[in-house]
Amino acid sequence: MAERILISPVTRIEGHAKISIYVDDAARVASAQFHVVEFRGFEKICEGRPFSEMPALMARICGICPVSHILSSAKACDALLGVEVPPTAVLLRKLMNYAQILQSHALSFFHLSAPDLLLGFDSEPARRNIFGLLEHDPGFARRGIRLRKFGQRIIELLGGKRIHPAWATPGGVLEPLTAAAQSEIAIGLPEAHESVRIALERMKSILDAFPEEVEHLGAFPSLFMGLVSKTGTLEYYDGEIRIMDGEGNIVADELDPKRYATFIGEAAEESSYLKFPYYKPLGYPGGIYRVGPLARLNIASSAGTPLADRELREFKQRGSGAVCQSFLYHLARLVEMLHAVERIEELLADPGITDVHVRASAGLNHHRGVGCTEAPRGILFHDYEVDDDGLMKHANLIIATGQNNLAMNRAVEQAAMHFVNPQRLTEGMLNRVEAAIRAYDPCLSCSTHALGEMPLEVVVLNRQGEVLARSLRG
Amino acid sequence: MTLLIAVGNLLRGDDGVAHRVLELVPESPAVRRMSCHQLTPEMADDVAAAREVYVIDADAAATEAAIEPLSPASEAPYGPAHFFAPSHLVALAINLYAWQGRAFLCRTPGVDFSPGLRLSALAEAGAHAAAALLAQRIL
Repeated sequence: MAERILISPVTRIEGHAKISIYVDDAARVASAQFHVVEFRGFEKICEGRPFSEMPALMARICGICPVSHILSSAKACDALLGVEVPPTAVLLRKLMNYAQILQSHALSFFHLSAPDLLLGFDSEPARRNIFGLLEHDPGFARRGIRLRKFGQRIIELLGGKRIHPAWATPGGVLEPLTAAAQSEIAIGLPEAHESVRIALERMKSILDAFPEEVEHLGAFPSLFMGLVSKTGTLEYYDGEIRIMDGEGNIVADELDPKRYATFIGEAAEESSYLKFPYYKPLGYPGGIYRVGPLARLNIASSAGTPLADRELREFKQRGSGAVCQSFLYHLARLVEMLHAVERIEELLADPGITDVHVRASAGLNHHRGVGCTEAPRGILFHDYEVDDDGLMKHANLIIATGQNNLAMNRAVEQAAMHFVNPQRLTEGMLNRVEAAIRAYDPCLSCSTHALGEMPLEVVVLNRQGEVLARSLRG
Repeated sequence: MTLLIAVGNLLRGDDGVAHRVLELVPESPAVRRMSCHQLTPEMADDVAAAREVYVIDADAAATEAAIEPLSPASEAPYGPAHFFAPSHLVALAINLYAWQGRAFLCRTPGVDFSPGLRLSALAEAGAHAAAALLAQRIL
């Protein structure tokens, strides 16, 4: 009898989603799907508003990664103005973006994923959170909390508040960095550095305990897409797009982000509010690609900072060609945090960082502007079209989580097929299926344009939709 | 040092009343203020640095402003836990830093939580009453 196992909602991710696992007549997992069940609609909300409002408005898409939306939005608005942003403003925007990478990755690793990694996938569900981690290793949990706070504090020092800072604006930023803020950030760097190093070494030391998870929670070849600098180093603010295949071959390089529509298509499915972007030359769904930390480390020739470079070389040895195991997103995040700390240190030492000329002025000069940055979860596009009065006619946002949608679906299916025994379901099996999604750290608030935490409901249904079994955790 | 934490969404009417309370409490060098949409784990660090903490929040069930002792939660929140109830924040500060300070919850009444920047008359009056209660205790 064909059955469906439903995991709803998926927990420890940003937003609401569910997973359906379809069971064939032989009681084996036949397929699985990841559904995003929330809808936000920011692309429509902004129509008719002045473009100058966009950075502040788009920041409201998300409470976890507002900085990413502010920056991509501000860049799209820069393009509408046609201005050259003052060099100090660029430095400050980069500083805020690295702080955002740091705080978001700290949340993902210490709060959402470390409970599985340090307490175990089969441990008591009620303990798999920051409190459980606290009981297990208070010093480690404290470091995680303080690391996230450090990233948030930098954002607050620059933008006036940690969440939704309306600071980056068309043409630059609203306020320069004060000497006092520069000093405060510098004082916090050594501890941040030490915490990242400790977490990174810890992660490397425990990876060997998860051979099955590494190989079955989304290990498959795909394309990888992201920004790199002119010299091929990690880049999060400027740069051009590079695409690599699973064997490590560069299939496209030096692509202009403004021309994203020529190589990225967007498909829609009835099963989800989340769109399915794909690489156009390979069609849908063959053009599956991944973005975010794993993709960035794959496509970058080098990190561009000494400590992260050493870690990147070691990381790349985990794959033949590209590193294709989604579980290694967790490790990639830690390497990126190290890089972010190094870059923050560099930026603070730049003699121009406290210059007060941080905004260029201009009127509307173009009717279309595209802004692109690397958000914590991957490359992020904001594409705006305005009328002669600068009122928004159209917006298209391509969010990192959406770009990983095809890959998350494949990861869920692979995990379900390997770990789930429909005749003897355990909570640990289903947690591993969720973990396949969690590796991507999806932000559904962003990508569907709610933060929520609800118990995990598992329902087994037959083909007629009759409930054969139901279990509730939480 | 005394820490005042105002919690709530300014864009949801009376949910933002705690921020209004914060505006109304007179400045004092011995009092630190924080405003937030929601409580998050990293605030445990700030709580641990204070002798007394007052979490100010809107309460749809309250009819008048009141201050009451805040006990640490005995159980962890289920699930993702990157935002907390006040009792969880206190528990986290105690568990992480062996915090020995005192915590209080300042409940302020609210009736209209629909989108908008305005406070209802009840919330505005409650904000003044809450600020007066806090001032009596901390200044």
